[in-house]
Amino acid sequence: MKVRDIIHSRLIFVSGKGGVGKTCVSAAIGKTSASTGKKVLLVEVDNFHASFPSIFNRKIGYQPRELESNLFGCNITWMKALEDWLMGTVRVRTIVQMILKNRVAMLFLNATPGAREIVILSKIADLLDQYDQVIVDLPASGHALGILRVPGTAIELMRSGPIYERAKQILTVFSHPRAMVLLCALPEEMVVNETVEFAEKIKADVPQIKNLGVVVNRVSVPSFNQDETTLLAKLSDAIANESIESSEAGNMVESAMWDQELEVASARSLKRLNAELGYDVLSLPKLGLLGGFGGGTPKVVQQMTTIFARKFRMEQS
Amino acid sequence: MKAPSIQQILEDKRLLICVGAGGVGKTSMAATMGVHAAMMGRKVLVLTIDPAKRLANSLGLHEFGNEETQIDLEPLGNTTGELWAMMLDGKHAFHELIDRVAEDEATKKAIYENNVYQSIADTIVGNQEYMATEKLYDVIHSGGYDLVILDTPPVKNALDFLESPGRMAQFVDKRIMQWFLADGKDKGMLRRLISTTSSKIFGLLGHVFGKDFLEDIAIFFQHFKELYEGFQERHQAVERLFRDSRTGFLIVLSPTEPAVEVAKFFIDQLKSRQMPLLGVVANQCHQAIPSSPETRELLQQVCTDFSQGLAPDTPNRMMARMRSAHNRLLMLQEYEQNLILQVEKDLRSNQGLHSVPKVKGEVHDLHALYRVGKFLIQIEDAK
Repeated sequence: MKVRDIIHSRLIFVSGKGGVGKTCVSAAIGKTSASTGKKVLLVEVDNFHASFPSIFNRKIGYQPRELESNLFGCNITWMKALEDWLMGTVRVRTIVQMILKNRVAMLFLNATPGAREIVILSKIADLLDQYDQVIVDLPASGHALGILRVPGTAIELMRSGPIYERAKQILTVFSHPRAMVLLCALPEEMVVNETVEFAEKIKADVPQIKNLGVVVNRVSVPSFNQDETTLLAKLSDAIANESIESSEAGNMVESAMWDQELEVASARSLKRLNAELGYDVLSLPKLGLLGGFGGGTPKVVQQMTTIFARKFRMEQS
Repeated sequence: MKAPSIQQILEDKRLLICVGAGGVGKTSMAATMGVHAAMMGRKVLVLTIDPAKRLANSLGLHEFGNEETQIDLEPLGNTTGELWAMMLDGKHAFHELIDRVAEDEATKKAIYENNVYQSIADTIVGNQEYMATEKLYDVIHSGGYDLVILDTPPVKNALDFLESPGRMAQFVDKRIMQWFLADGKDKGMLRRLISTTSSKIFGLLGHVFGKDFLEDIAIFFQHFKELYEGFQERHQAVERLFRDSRTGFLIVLSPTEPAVEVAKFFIDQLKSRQMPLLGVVANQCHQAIPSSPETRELLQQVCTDFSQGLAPDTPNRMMARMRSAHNRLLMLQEYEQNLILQVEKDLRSNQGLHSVPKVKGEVHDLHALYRVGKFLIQIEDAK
C-alpha cells in the first residue's frame, strides 16, 4: 500500500483497536493532504469527549471550523445532525423545534434502531461535496463496524421512504472508487488478531467500500546483529538465574530487552498482516519525545505528518 | 478516610466495574483481579461487554459464547474459590431473551420475522449495552457469585452503558408505553399513534422516516409487550446497583496522554453521576532505576566475559545500546509519573492510586495474569 492511495482518497474511515493511534493517524493524514493544497475535513463521530482539540489546541463543534490552513474539523453530534436532517425534510424551523422538544418523539427517535447512524452518515455524505477529502475518525473496531453496517441493513429492511433513500445515497458514497477504510494497528499479537478479524468483517459486511488499508504504528526496524542478540540472551539468562544480582544492572539489561522485543514483535506482526491482507501494509516508526510512548500528542502528529509527506514525495518522483 | 487496597476491594465488593480508554489493559486487569479474588476463595464471574474477543484472549482461551465458562485454576494451586468468565454476545442474548419471554411459537415467529427485530439484533449499536444491563441483573440476582467484575468498552460506549438503565427505564415509562402498546391489532396501533394529540408530530416523523418504517417499529413494540414488562423494575434495580455500597468503579489507565485525559474525564463523570469510584489503576508503567558507575563497570565486565567467540566490538556496542535504552527508560518513567500525578490530584483521599509495572511479553495466560496481579497487591503491602 502507498501513502498516495490514502492522500488521493475522497473519503477515509479510520478505525482499529482501542489505543492504537487512530486519532493521531487521522490528524496526520489530514495535515499531509492539506499541505498538498486539498481542502480537508476531519470528522469525529458523536464524540462526547472530542479528541482533536488536544492535538490542534482549538475547540471543535458541529459546524466545521478551520484548524490550520486548508484543514477543518468538526464533531458530528446526533442531536445537531438530527436537527439538520429534520430541517432538510420538514423545512420549517418551528416545527423542527417542536419535534425536538417533544419528549415522546425524542424517545421514539432515540430508540429507533439505526436512526442515529443513518442521520450521522448522511451528514458526512453531505459534507463530502464541500471538501476534497473527508477523514472520519471512527470509534474502535466493533462499534465502527456497527456504524458502517447500518446503511446496508436499512436498504434490506425498508422498502421505500426517506431513510431508504438516504441509505441508498450513503451506499453510493461508500462505493466511490476513492472511498476507503483505514485500520490502525500496533505490532502486538492481540492487536494484529483484531485487525485481521476486522478487515475480514468489513469485506463481508460492507462490501460497498472497496479499498482497505492498514497503518501499523510504533514499528521498530531490526537493528540487533546476530552477536548482539546472542550476548543479550546471555545477559538476560544471567539476570533471570540471578548470577547478576544488581537490580540496577538488571534494569539496564531490561531496557535493551524492551528494544529488542519490539523489533521482534514488529517483524512478526508485519509478516502476518502482509500475508493475511495480500499486500504490504504501511508502517510508522516509534515516535514522540521518548520513542513511542511518551511525548506530546501534537508532536507525535507532527512527526507522523513529516513521514507521510516524505513517503508521498518519494512515491511521486 | 483511607483508600481501600485492591485486596480489600476484592474481598468486600459484590460488583466491580472497570472503565477507561481503549488499549490500556482493562480486560486484562479485570481478568487479573478475577484470578486473584478466586484465589482468595471467592466465586467470581468476569463479564466483558466489549464486542472484541479480548477476554478470551487474555485468559488464554479460545473464544467462548454467551455461556458462563469456568476457568481451571489448578495451574495456580489450590483454592476453594472459582473463576468464571463470560463474553456477552448481544445478539445471542437477545435471542435468549425472546425465547424466554415470548408467549407462544406464533409470537416468537412474528418477532423473528419482524424487520425491526432483525435490524436490532444485527445492527443496533446500543444493543450490546442494553443486553449487558439485562445480563448484569441476572447474574447479580441469581446470587450465584460472590463477586462480578465487569469489563466495559471504551469511553463513549461505557457511558452508554452507565446510562442505559436510565434510558431503558425512561423508554418503558407508562406514558410512552401507551403509544406503542395499545390494545388491538398491528395496524390499529399506528392509527392510534396518529389520532392522538401528538399526531402532528408523528405525522411529521412518518414523513421523515417513512410510514412503513414507523409501522414496523410500532408492530415491533407490540410484540415486545411482554419483554418490556418488568424492564422498568429491572433497570431501576440495576441503577440502584450502580450506586450500591458494595459496588465500585475502578478506572484503568496507561500512562499516556490520551488515556490520562480519558481517566480524568471518567473521574468527573462518575462524580456527577454519584457512582462510587474506588480508585485508579495505572497499568503498564515503565520502571527505571538509575545506575551507578560501578554498575556500568560491572556490566561492561560481564559483557566482555560473555562475548567470547563473538565479534570484538560486541561488548561495547551492547554497552552503548543499554546506556541509550536505559536513559530513554529513565526519561520515560519521569514523564509517566508526571502524568499519573495529574490524575492523583483529582482523587479524594478515599480513592487510591495503584500502579502496575509494564511486564515483558503479552499478558494472555493465567500465570501472566497472576503475576501482574501480584504487583497490584504487593505494591499495596509495601506502602
